[in-house]
Amino acid sequence: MTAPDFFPVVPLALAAASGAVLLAIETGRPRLARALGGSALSAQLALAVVALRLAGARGPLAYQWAAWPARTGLTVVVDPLSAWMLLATAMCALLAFAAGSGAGEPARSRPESWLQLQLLALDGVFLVSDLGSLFVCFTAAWLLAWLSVGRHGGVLGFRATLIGAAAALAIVIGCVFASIGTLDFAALALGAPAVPTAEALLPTASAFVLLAVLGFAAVAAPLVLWRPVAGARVPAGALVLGVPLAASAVYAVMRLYTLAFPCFIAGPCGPSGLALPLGLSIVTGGALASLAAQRARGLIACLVVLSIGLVLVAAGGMRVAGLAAGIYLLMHATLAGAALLLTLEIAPRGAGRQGVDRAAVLYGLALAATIGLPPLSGFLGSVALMRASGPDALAVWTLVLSSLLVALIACVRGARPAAPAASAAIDPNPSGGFAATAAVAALLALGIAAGPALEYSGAAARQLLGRAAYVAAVAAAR
Amino acid sequence: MSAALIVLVLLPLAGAVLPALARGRRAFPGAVAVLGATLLLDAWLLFATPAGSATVLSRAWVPALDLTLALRLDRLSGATAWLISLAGLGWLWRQKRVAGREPVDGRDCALVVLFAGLAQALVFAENALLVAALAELGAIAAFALERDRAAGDGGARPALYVRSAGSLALLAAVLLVADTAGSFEFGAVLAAAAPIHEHSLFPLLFALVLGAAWSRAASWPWSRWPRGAATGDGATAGFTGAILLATGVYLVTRLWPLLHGALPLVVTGSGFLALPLLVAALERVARTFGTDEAPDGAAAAVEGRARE
Repeated sequence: MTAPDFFPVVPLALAAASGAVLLAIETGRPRLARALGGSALSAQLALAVVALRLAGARGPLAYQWAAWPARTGLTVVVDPLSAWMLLATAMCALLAFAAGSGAGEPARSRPESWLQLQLLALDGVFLVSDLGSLFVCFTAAWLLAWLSVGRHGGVLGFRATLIGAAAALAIVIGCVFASIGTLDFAALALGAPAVPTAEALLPTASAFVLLAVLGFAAVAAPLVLWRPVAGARVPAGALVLGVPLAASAVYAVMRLYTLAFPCFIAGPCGPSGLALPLGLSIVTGGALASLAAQRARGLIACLVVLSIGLVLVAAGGMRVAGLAAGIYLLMHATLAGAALLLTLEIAPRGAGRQGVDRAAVLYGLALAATIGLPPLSGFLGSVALMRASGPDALAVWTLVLSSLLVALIACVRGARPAAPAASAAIDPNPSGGFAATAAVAALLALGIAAGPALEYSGAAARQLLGRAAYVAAVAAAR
Repeated sequence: MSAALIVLVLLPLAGAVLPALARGRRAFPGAVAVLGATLLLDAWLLFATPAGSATVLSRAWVPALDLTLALRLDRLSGATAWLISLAGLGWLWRQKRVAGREPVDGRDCALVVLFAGLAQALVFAENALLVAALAELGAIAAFALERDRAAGDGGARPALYVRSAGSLALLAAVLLVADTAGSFEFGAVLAAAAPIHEHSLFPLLFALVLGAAWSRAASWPWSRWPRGAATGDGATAGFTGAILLATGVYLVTRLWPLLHGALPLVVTGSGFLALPLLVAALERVARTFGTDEAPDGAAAAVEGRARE
């Protein structure tokens, strides 16, 4: 399979161009905007599939965008992991579009241009190959998700915390640049081992803080953005891209701690020693919080946190088998979060009508997959995680199995679709059913195709830890 | 015989759709037809299988996890599956008697066929990981069947928690065994009995398997439902409890080459009785101290949560 050299930049260019066009026309010509938005997102999905096949067959593909010096980067790279994440994000964006493209939707809630801009920022996180651009794209993705929820009257709290996290990220990146002299991943992979031991304190401390901030960002995305606000009804379509946003933080952990900071992860005192406890505490916290959740949306936010924690637990050891399980679970967590949001939105509306059973079954399937019930993708991912846990098996097995049991208890106690009386006030959204069905179908497909999916994630994990192919591809692009 | 075994496993799983789709009076005959055919096919296979021989079928599903869709037919699995089908038919017969001239609920009929099918698939499964998965699914199906009958789901939920905990313990045990035996297939696992016995974690493995098997008998709901009630609720708990108990006993019997010698047989067997008594006693203590959730409160909480 061949592709032009500039292929890695095409998803970004498409999202930027279609976002700009949609911003211009969506107020005056809504039908055309909807058609264009849908076409652009379908094209993004097709591009992601092509990227998956290309990266799987040929390894990393790099393209230098403008001839900027390597110190500041701006090289775009598609490798198996980033292609995997492009696919997950494109699917979520298409689901969000389908959920929000109902004929009866008011103009202000139509998501076309927002989706393109969010996709641009998220794809940027997955494709850029330097810490500075990653910070810019990650912050932009957060800001857009924040505003997307805010324009529906949803949550706008926690400003100081989030600004603090962004500032911490900026300071840490500054420290890395000051101590190693570059932000480029490939250059970091070569330059970080050359730092003398006596001067390794600053980059090591930066790596620790970076891990903590990324862990916080992964947990905060569902917990803050999905927080219900009295009087506001944020449609699920506006929230769905919060799931790949959380996944992007975990992606950044996988990318940085295998490629950019490999010399700091060795030994019990390195950040790798922190990643596993961080993941385990997120899993346990998510499970316990799900028990205390008062509302269904709070419950599913906690379950997404649990799923994200499982990814961190799997990848925490930075070994091939664990990373393979983590990459598979990353796709599972993204699709499960989207499916939970979309099915929860239709579950109350279906009560008392013809579709009551279908809505309840879809919601139940999404819940079952998320909490690791067999034979769905969550179960298979959890088994892969536990088989890969190596020397930490006792702690990992105990906490993961207990957390899954607690999550099951939380779901059984309070996560059924609403009674008919409670659903009367909610507006119908005819396209929500299609989006929810498609999300659950994608989740089921991930379980059925677990064989090839785990094979791909294994290859992606080997490439991730190999590093040489990535560094060589970036060097060749320059 | 291989084709017959596949049909036998798939028949009740796929056949559960029949009573679910059938309306009114046709649901009950549909369920009886599916379970009756399963019973007859099972009996034929049981008699066609010579003592000491086994038919094993295998198809890869997730090679990275060593997870295969593998089936084993021998006298032990055939006899247990036959008992399960018989118990399913017995429950249907009882529901018909309770319903009298009214039609038996189609959803109930579908759930019974599905539950019996899952339990039967468990006893025919050759891959231990598949057994752990089916054990969890069986617990969920039993919960779905019991839920509508227990007051405010109260009795069915604790049973689900105990059974699910047991299924997760079984999953841990299976993963532990696979680490030593190098495979999830019962053939390879039982052949590696000696190294597993000598493994430093064998006591933990033994406790996990036994706990998983005993948890199948978690008949907690019996202690919650009013005695002598005319609704037949206790019968459903008895039916699900009996079938799950059969699968628990099957599990211990199948793994006996691994487990024998660790505890006297009488202790191993009495656990199936002791665990339900223990959980019933604990539940009684919990009720005494008023920590239980009122059914009305649970329903109100569900409604409240959905009103966001």
